[in-house]
Amino acid sequence: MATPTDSRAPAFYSRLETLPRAELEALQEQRLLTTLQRAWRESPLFRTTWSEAGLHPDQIKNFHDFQAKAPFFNQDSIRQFRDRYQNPCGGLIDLDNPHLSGMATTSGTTGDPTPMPMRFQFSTHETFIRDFWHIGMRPGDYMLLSVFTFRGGSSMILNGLKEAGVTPVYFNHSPAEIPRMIRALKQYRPTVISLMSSPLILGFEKYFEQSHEDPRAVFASVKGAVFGGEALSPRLKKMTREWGLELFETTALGDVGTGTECHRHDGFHAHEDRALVECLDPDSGAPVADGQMGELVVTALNDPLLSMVRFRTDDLVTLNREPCQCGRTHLRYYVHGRKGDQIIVQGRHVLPNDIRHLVENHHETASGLFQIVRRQKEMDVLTVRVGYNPARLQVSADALASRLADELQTSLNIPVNIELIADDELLKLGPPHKIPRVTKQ
Amino acid sequence: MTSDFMNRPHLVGRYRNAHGVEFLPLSESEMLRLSWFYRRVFDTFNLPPRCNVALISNFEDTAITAALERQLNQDSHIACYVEAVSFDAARLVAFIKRMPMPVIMGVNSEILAGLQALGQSPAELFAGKIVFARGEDAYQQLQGLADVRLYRWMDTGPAVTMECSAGGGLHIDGDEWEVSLAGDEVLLSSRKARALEFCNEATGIRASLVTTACSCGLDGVRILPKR
Repeated sequence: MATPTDSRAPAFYSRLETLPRAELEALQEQRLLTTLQRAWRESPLFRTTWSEAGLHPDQIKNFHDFQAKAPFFNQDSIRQFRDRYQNPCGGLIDLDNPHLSGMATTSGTTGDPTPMPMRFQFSTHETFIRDFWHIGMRPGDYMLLSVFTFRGGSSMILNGLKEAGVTPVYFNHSPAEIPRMIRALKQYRPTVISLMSSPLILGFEKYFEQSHEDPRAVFASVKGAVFGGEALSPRLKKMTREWGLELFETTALGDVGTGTECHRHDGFHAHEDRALVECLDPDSGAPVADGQMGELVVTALNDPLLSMVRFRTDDLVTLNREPCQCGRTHLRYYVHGRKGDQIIVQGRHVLPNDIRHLVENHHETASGLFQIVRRQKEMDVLTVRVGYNPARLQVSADALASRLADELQTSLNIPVNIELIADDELLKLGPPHKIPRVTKQ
Repeated sequence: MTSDFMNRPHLVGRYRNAHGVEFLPLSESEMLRLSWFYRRVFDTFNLPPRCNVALISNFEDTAITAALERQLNQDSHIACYVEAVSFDAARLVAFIKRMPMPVIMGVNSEILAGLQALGQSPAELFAGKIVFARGEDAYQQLQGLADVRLYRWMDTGPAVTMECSAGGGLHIDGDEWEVSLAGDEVLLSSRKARALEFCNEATGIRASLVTTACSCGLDGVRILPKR
């Protein structure tokens, strides 16, 4: 058997990912025009939305036409179409479309789960493979695969890994799996872990504290771990570095794909041959300049089932189209939070990211578990439910709450009320990989 | 293509035996054989093409579900995914209410607990449907529902076992596995080349064996679990 080397990189990697911007944009435009015709033919939601706007794909000749004329839609549009027309696919395609082989759904974190029709060889998985390749995965390797949920099935990602010649070792995403993950790390010596999350890292921390095993030995074979679910906190980043584990943050690119960091750790790499990315003023819909914060709006360019055309993601981002020092030319984006997660307290805007490092700085609350309690859109006092480790409590809970409130008030310059809850209880309020950072109750 | 490639682990899942949970490496050829097993059993149900099939499972169960997903795809059915945990029972309800769902695979005790918490009646929700229970406790809870075609589907040690349309015991791929009993515990030995071979593996499953011919026409021994 031949020895895997870098020269065996997938053909789609080196050429497409390093295209000069002009060539990349030409490819995007060509794929966009094809996508619009296909969406008109196969997506009832697209046909309805565009018909209501008095628009037909034939009227779009280039990207500028598209940006000037194409209507937006969002998750609510899909759910409303599903309910109004009894279309289980939300109008993205029809249920009898022969390409359709699976129906995934979104988490439902922001409401009713949204349908995501899939085909067996799912286009997005090529982008996962590219990201794993950049981290260091090569044919013949094992990887530790612990995706957050079964909501998208298990074999579709398997197909992508099979194409890459990689063998996944499957786990549920749960801290309860850590002893078995440790066994797999020792037995199979995987090169990549996907995915890590805050609760899983906290579980590993607890395991290493209790077992006195050397994390560096456990993770010795691992070239990198993909981290998702929420932003990586400085404390967890520092701790995992000390374990010899390099984390590569990943995040959604709307619902049409993902963006993942490279070794430079300077933004999420989008795959622009797969997705047309726009950054727009959330209110006016006008484009904002690169480097300015706006709402991420995406269009799937190469997926016959996912007719996501100008999909408003609710994510607040900035874009960077400068080529990355890793060699790739596709744009990078930086996520600042979700539009829906913005809290207004006495006229001041607050996002969960503004709070996390303040919570983590305290020994008793170093897990960084907290929720903003938003009982109404605008508030006079910021209420934060903070998880703490009872074993680390050296003063009264009231004293800890008072100390936290003082620090947050000083830093954010708004009144703060702290509700303390044990870490384990707080973790029960969400799925295994994260807790909702903003809650109504 | 070398036999090395075909027998190299295509994935590593897990199986349970009498002692706990172990890794289960599966080669591509094992996956292929398992998908054929699923096809043979599914054929006894005479399903029309393009059925929506609710597939309830966990990510760690890929050694059991990946070949099934492949077979569903080849038969042009549509898999609708639900996590096998109580909080995802609402997702199952939403699927069933929004689209025709003649087959539901993998109803376990957690999903039943979730349905109960939602105030959903399994008798009403599953009426007229083919339901495969995962785990004998879930099977027993659903047994007796008048308008539900209830069957078993489970992992028996490293093997997948499943009832055909005739019910009355779990089929196992007899070309793949040699089945025996030690007392009333099922032991399995592999009969073909596998990424991980087994010899009298104690599965921890208590059962009796049915050796009479099945009316569905599938050959081989069937496993009838005991509570």
